[in-house]
Amino acid sequence: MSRYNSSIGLLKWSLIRHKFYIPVFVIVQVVLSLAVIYGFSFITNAKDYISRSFLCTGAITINILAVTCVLAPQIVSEAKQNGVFNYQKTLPISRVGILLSDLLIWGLIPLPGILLCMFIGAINFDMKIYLDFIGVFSLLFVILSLLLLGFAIAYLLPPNVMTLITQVIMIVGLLFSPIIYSEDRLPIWLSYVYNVLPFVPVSNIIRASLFHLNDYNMTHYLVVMVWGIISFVGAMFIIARRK
Amino acid sequence: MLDTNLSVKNVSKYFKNNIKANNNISIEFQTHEITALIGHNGAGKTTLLNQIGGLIIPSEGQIHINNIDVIKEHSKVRKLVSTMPQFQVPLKGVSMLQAIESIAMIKGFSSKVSKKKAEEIISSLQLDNWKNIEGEKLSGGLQRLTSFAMTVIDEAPVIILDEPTNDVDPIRRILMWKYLRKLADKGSIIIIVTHNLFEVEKYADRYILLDKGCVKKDINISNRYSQNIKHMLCVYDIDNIDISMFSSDFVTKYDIEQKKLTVSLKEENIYRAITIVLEVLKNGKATSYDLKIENLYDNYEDMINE
Repeated sequence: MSRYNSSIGLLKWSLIRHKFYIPVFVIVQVVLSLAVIYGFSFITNAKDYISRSFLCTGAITINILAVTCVLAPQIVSEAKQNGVFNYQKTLPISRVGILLSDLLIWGLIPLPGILLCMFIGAINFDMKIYLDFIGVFSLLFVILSLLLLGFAIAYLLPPNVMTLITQVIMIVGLLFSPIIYSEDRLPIWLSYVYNVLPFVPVSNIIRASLFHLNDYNMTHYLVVMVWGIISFVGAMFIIARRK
Repeated sequence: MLDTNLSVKNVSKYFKNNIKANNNISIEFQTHEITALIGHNGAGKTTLLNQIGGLIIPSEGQIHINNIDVIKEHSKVRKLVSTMPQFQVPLKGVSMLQAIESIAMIKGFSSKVSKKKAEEIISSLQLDNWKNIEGEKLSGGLQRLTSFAMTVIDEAPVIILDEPTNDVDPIRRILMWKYLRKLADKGSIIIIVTHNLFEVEKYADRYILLDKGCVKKDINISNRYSQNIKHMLCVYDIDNIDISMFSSDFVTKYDIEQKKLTVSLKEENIYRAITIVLEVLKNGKATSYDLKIENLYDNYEDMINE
């Protein structure tokens, strides 16, 4: 019972602290979704189904990236600087609990953007959505893995480096990576690099699981999982570390 | 509450470049007792608190709470120790009531009990008017009081507080100390870092003076007064050449700039000293004097320089 109360208390505290940000983040996701889907259709002259499907699934990936690898690290880093993180370490809660409570709150934040992109895809582009077990599992899997990466960036790196890295992720993700266009436009070596990083595999997982636009490729899941595990270990190292 | 045993044995901490934060510290903390850690900035007080809370691992030595090794069994220790850090606990977006209530839940109380306990402590500290105001809108003192309430809400066996009364108004400082006394009477060990020596003397049971990472004095305040009460006589506007009649018989200190003579007296010498003062005043060699019981503030500098 005590552990139950403690977990609920931790979640409550985390939710109250983040409530200020949630409406702003929802607005950001709406703007980002519309900008990627409609804005990029002018830039890339996307008129066919495949190109538009890339914009729609790309918008989902970029929304997830924006929340997990840009916004989350910035807020976690702020908590590290303003003392919330150090204060949490004094509380009678498990070190994993600190991470899990933030994971749960942040795991819910990208959902409005994802749902909006799905809605636009279904209504405007006649895309069929598969929200079955594999679809939902895959979505949660990529969100949690990228959140762990975002938390690791925030915990492991000093604030100025964290800001730089998150900006690079966003700019490369938004402008250059084969998330919003087909991978076969790239040289093979660059395509290989993108597939070792987690972002393009995340995009491919979303296309395969939620829209059945690609074949399932377990290598993509494996790459994302390895990044997730390494990030979890890195984040836990800092959370559990004592001077 | 069962009695708690907290022992610090031969604890030292070396940081990078061999900087010694503390050096071979051994202290037994008693249940029902408020112990104040005093000393200059950088004396090692906060490091010692963090070591007791398990946040800093000593380079040498051991710390045990009820035979639980603080270094090796930190997860168990976190349930026994409640910490109020030196820095301001961030309360952005959280009201005073929400913050205290959430921390009570994190410490294991149900939602209903947490709310009740939070309301009680807010009332005890006379903070009802601010309980629904978000943290960032509270003054520094009110934020400090919120942080204090978050720390003491669970009445932990060991409560460590780093400068809790900073920025707090004089009335609520007294309320804080009274609250700590209540917790000590119930059986908590209270360890408090503070620079307010008047408060230490008035409210603590014991003080430990740390200097350069070492324990310089470990004084039980009640014993100090019953066993070795001293008085301090100050004579004002007295010239250096006229102080010999005091300095020959008593321990004296003369401040040339202020032309102030301070005489440290045992009770049996008061009458003789006052007789001399009256004689000095009569001859116009001083303008006034006062006599008081010597306090920690008066002794502090001497203790540091010993």
